[in-house]
Amino acid sequence: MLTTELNERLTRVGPGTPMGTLLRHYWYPVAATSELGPEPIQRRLLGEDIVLYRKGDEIGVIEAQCPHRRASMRYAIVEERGIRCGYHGWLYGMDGQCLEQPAEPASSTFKDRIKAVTYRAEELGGLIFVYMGKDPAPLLPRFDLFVWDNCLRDVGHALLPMNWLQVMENSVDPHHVEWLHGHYMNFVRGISGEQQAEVLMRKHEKIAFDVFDYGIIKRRVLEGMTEEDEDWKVGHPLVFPAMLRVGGGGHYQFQIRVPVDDTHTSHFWYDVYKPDGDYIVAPQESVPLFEVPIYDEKGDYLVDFVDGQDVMAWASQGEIADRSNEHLGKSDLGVIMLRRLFQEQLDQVEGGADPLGVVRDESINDCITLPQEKKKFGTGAGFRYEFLTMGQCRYSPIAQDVLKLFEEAEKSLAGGDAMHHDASV
Amino acid sequence: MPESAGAAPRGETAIDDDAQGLVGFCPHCGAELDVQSFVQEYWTADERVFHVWCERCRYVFDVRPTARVTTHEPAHE
Ligand code: FES
Ligand SMILES: [Fe+2]
Ligand SMILES: [Zn+2]
Repeated sequence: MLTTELNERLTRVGPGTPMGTLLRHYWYPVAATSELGPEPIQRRLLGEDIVLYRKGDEIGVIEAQCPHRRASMRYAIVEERGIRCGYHGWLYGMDGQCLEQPAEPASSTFKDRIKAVTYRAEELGGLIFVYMGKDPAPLLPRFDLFVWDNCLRDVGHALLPMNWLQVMENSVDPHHVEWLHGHYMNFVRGISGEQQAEVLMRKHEKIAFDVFDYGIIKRRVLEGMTEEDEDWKVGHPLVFPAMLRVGGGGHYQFQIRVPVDDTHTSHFWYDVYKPDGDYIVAPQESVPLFEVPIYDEKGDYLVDFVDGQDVMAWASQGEIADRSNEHLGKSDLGVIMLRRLFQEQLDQVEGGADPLGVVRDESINDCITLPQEKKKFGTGAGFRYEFLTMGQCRYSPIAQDVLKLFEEAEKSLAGGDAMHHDASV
Repeated sequence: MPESAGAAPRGETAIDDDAQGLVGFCPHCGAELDVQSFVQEYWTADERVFHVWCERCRYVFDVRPTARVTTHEPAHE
């Protein structure tokens, strides 16, 4: 168990809370680029409601409630000089300064004393990221998957009804894979007579966690594997504080867990498809965004696919898991390590320093390459098959293009150096 | 569900006390282990362990309350 007090400290994200302050050192995606057209959009991030708008090449972010009489800036007019509330026409510059109050007397200086809260936004890899912390803002980290070319991308999304930390703890809980996505998956699929999972069922023999520059690297040895396999030698990272990198066999993914407020998490599955082989992919016009369903028609969690099972496990712990009533064992050491890391980083921030993984050095930010095994679970294609058919990708609008790309890549390899061919297929 | 007063029943678990505050001070520097530090209980078999990080001295410990000391018996000459 964990004390109630510490549980509060580790989970609450609002302004002024310790964790809220730590989390405000990082950038978070709040929308896909394709979602922001000429009309403003509203989002919630770290417990604050914000409105985003596009003005030429720039993106403005302003507090959602107009400082005048609190109407939503989501229903505002975007203009040359900024954003104008639709209710009484108060105009705000991109820095939040009130520039006009049309109904006030012409000689009034009242506007000079009104400044709305604004934040910074940047686009990268088809997503819009927002930074809500203090100045100077750190760089938006250009992680490999956001900047690679010659690949296909899509973004799955779901708004989830639970605290973000439950989601992150799952990323240092490798044992759940064989149970939730193996045995439980097969129980559910068995009932409906669907095909059984095999690869994800394999038993974990050893797991390890190492802190590195951007988070925690997770390693595993599965039954029948050795420490020479990539799952142990390379592993894959939890990117601190709110992201997981996972994939295998030419499919790469960030799972980005954006803390919306204390009890909601905006989840992006950011997929990149870049198999080994010879091929040319034309740049996509925009990265397609699709909603990942999490409920069935009865309102129960959809548990016949990997990501739905994860969502069930995160959400069914409750809005904020009562960690004063849990029973951790040795297999939970990854979770314990993550909580301790957060607690240490809270302390670091209270001391005035940047926490883990904050990037301020331009010279390393062209492309930050993260480690990730390719031959996941000792195989590439077998894992990929289950991941593509049993993961959220099954809802992707470009699923057929992705499969075609993999076929093309495989053909190019079969025609050339046979060494590349994955013998386990 | 209707609101009701009183605590929900707990099942029979390894814990029969309230673990909060069982490890109150750092074994190294003696600082009070408050909410700025980290005390996390877990179990290995029937052994109860408190994983501790002290915010003042930065040490990391596992504290194991020990009810009985067991050892092996060395072979006699
Ligand atoms: S077995 Fe882990 S939550 Fe139930
Ligand atoms: Fe999972
Ligand atoms: Zn100490």
